[in-house]
Amino acid sequence: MKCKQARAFASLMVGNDLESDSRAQLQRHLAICPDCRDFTHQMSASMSVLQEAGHESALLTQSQMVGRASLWPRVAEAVTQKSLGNLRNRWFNGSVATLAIAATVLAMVSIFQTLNDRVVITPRPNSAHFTDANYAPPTPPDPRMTKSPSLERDSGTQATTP
Amino acid sequence: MTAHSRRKEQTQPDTDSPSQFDDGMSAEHDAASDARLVEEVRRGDQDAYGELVRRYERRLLRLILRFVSDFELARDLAQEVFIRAYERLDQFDPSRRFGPWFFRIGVNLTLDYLRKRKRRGWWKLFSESATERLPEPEVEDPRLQMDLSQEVRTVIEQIPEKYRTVLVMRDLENFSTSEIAAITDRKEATIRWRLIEARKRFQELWIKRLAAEDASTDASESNS
Ligand SMILES: [Zn+2]
Repeated sequence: MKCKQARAFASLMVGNDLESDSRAQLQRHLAICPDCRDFTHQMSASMSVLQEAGHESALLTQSQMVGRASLWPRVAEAVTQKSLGNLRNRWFNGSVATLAIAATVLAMVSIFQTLNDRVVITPRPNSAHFTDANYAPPTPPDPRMTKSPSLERDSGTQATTP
Repeated sequence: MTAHSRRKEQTQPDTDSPSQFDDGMSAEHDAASDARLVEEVRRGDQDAYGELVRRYERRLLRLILRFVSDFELARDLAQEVFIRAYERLDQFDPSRRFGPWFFRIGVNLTLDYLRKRKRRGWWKLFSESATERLPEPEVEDPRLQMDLSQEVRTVIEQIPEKYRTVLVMRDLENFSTSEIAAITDRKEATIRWRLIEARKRFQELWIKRLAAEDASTDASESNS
């Protein structure tokens, strides 16, 4: 075994990460190589430092956790809000097309109605204006043609009344 | 139970050994019951996720605290990890173990946070006045009186991330190399090579630090 490989094995062995057959190989090398023995001792010492520090800060963390509530209520609140948000988004995305179609239909209906109303109403002021003396109430428009003739008829009436 | 006694021989196959992805107290839950809870959450049972949070929060918090020292910040990060895992639960493959998948989210989120903080730190260093302090300086004056775990943390922070992550998970948090491979999505052989390099670097930096401490102690003694 070369020193380079021996040191790699030693680095694993100090943390119990070396299989037993490799460990036996390493031991044979260490028996004849003082440099690698030194390396292994130093590695083992720094490993002890790491493990001691790991244990120390684990205890500190444990003491910090005492009396602290679970994260679950905070997480539950956040995921519930996000789920609602996603639901709204999904609803919004799914509804955009529907809304667009509905808006277009409504717009078309109202344009159609306005045109209808104009067709019915337009002659009235004219007739009122031009037939002031011989004013006669306009004949009610065909209810099949318009939905709200009464308002238009009233304003038409006011316009012609001094 | 000490950290050392929990360490197990790598000759045992990790997949068959009791899960280390618990709180380190006991094998009070196993992969099968994790999978059952995940399934319940997917069916809309939010309380099942509460059970998963309670199972994993201490272990996750401990792991995050190996990378960031502020306890409240670690709790905030842990909370974010649980939220992210919940959002990605539909991407989890139920034929695999929940623990590695979950801790991968935890490690990635924590490292992302540290990278962003580091970038912000460098940006501040160049863009603002030199008198302004960097956010939470990680490298402190070695002459300051510190306890061992703080000193070790300071040394570990000098190790490049890909080695540091493996060192922290293996030597401080006692994940096995196969578990680290699963968490980081690398081959176990890669993890073992990184571990060798990480331990070597820690050892060299630790010796250097001890030498610097000795030199500063000698200097202060000769001054007095
Ligand atoms: Zn040698």
